[in-house]
Amino acid sequence: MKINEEKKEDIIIASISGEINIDTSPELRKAFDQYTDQGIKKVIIDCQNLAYIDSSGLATLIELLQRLKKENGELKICNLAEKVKSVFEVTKLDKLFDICLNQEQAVERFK
Amino acid sequence: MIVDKEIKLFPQEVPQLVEKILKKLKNSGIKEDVLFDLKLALNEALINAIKHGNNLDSRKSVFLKIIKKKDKLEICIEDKGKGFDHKNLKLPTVKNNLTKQSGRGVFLIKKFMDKLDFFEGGCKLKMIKYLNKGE
Repeated sequence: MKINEEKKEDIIIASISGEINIDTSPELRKAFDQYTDQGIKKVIIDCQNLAYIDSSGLATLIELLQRLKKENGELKICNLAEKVKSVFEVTKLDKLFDICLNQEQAVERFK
Repeated sequence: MIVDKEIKLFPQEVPQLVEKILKKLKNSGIKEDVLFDLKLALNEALINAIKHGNNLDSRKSVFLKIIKKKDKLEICIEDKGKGFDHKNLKLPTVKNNLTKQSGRGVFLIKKFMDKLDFFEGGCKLKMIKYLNKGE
């Protein structure tokens, strides 16, 4: 798993490639810790190159969402590939997360 | 028989093993979208067996068998734990459970495989994926 971070004004865009699984989730959690420690309240997770997510990956994203909400922050997820999207859909987490088509839509929804 | 293995691993080592198994499955002609489903089910089931079944006891093994038949793949996983109440699992998709950190593993297996049965009080599972659906 690789995380490529980009800052656009007060929004952090984390583009994740590879897999979020039980082995890589701790690394992702570390990155999320930094965002919340730095007081970042707007986070976009770009999943264009995310090939796989399992239940531990979903749990890590839920944890970030809850932490951001606690600080009145927001999380958007975008560019989900079909199979990864199906994991969000069957678990109904597409209702919990704000799923956007692409980065542009995600940025727009922060306004 | 594609795999017949006794496993002693930490949960975080499971994805690497599953990747090796997937290569074998890919070489046997299974399609990409089916491989995703098998990967998810194998990871969730093996991690559950090690974490919840064997309670992370490194002395205990998990047994994995994968058999490819003409139109289906059968996967059997057995742990050395005490079993669990698989008939009364909480539904992770109801509103109150949506933000829970755990409890999605078995649900995901059910959704991404075609059949899932538990035996011996939950210590053993058999899951089936049909390979030629929609053809």
